[in-house]
Amino acid sequence: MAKQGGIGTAAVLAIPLILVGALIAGILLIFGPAQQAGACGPGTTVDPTQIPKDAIAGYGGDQLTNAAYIMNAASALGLDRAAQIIGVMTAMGESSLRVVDHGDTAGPDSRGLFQQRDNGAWGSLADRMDPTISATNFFKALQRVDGWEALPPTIAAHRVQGNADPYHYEKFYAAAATVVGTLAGKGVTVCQSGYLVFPLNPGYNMTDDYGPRPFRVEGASTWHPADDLQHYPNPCHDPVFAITDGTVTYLAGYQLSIKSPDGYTVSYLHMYLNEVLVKIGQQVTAGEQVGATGDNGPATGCHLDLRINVVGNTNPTVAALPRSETIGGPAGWVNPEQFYDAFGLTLCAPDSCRREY
Amino acid sequence: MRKAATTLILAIATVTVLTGCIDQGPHPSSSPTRTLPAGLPSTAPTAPVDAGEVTAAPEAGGDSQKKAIAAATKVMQTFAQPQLGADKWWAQMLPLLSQQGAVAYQGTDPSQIPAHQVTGAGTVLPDSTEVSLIVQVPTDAGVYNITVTRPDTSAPWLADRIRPAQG
Repeated sequence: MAKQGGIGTAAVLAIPLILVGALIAGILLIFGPAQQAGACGPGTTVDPTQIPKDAIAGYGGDQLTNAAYIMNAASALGLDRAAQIIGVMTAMGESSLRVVDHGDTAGPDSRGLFQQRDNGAWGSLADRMDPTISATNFFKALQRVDGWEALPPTIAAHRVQGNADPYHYEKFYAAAATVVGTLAGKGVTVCQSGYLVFPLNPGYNMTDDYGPRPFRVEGASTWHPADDLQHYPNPCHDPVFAITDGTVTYLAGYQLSIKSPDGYTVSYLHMYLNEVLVKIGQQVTAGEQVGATGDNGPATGCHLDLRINVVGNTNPTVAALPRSETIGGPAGWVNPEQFYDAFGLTLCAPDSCRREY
Repeated sequence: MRKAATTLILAIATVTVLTGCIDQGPHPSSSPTRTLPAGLPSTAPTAPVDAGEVTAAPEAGGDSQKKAIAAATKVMQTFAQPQLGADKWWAQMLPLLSQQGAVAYQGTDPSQIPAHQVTGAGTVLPDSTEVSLIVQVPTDAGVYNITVTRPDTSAPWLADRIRPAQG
């Protein structure tokens, strides 16, 4: 449901607004030195008459033509690929990329790709049913959201649409990034989604992967429920970023664990505690630096051991991943590479990440 | 997964590290290839051996869980007021939200919320901790997951996320 245009915040009580403004300013400050989640290239214009015949990420035919109209509406406003993905993601979550000519229980007057309502903020019925005009009005409203580029994409979309669930659009991000990247003709877009980012700056290698170890290494466990990552040379003191939002739940020895609001827990191993920048109970944001690589604990060289435990998980995308105990490992882990794949990102891409194990 | 030559390469790499004789070649950001130090065999340098084990954070204690259930129930009761105007709804919600929760739920249209009331007792999901856990709360629109966090055990539990369990 699209809410009542760009005036939403004006209706908010003054004092909470100030409070929230201060909170957002604080979060933006925290974001400062971290990775720029939204930077993923310029917008691309797509010829709507030259749409691939094969489905992309489960979307085909008119759905892809509509995605092209959405992308072109963003480009016409000078917006980048991150905005194009937000637009396509939002329309996936509202209409499955179809020009819907009816509303629903929550919004009987909702129409079109973005389910825009008949409240004067989104134009005439013909406007709301027109892919280009409705998308243009969506993007103009997005541009009025303060700091939308720094918000997670689903939250930016929610500020425009006024859904009941700010995270409604999250599960469409990977498909939207794939559709936009494929239509743009440059393969799948490697955009960091806000929900999920990479743990090290680009250019790292993978020095061990997830699964059983075929050769016994002295002192090492025979099953490695993690991926090991490092830059080479200079693998030490390398910034480590939180891959998702969460709360620090464990910090001792050579282990930092951050529990996602979705319940699963990401652990970052071998950092020295004097280089860890967060403390137990602290909320961290995806992309925020939490420490630096080290060789603390049982490790013969500086690297990041990244592992994801899904006990207590509530996220359906994560729940669909195969768990370690089903392939002979210890209970509760998932393959970090499959985790990234599930959100449309490649943890160790062949053109930037060398596998050395 | 390691290849058979591990031991030999490990020895070489260990010497390399100990002597500080580390290649300063180009950063592999744009290409997986890189320059190896002269005199060393042109094999991949040895991956560091990693034998890390992790410890699960302790489960939240009984009193912490009771407080979390009470907080999450209050959150759900407040959230599930679609009849309330947006201003009143937000004024009631804001004190119950964490920083990240406040950022996320700003701009929510309460009239879209399908739930009207809490219909049963909340339960804490496995892998709870003293600073972050999820409470499942049943409502007339199905079960919701309420993620609550707090910086330490003396602080109140505040809500990060309020989501339908079948999202």
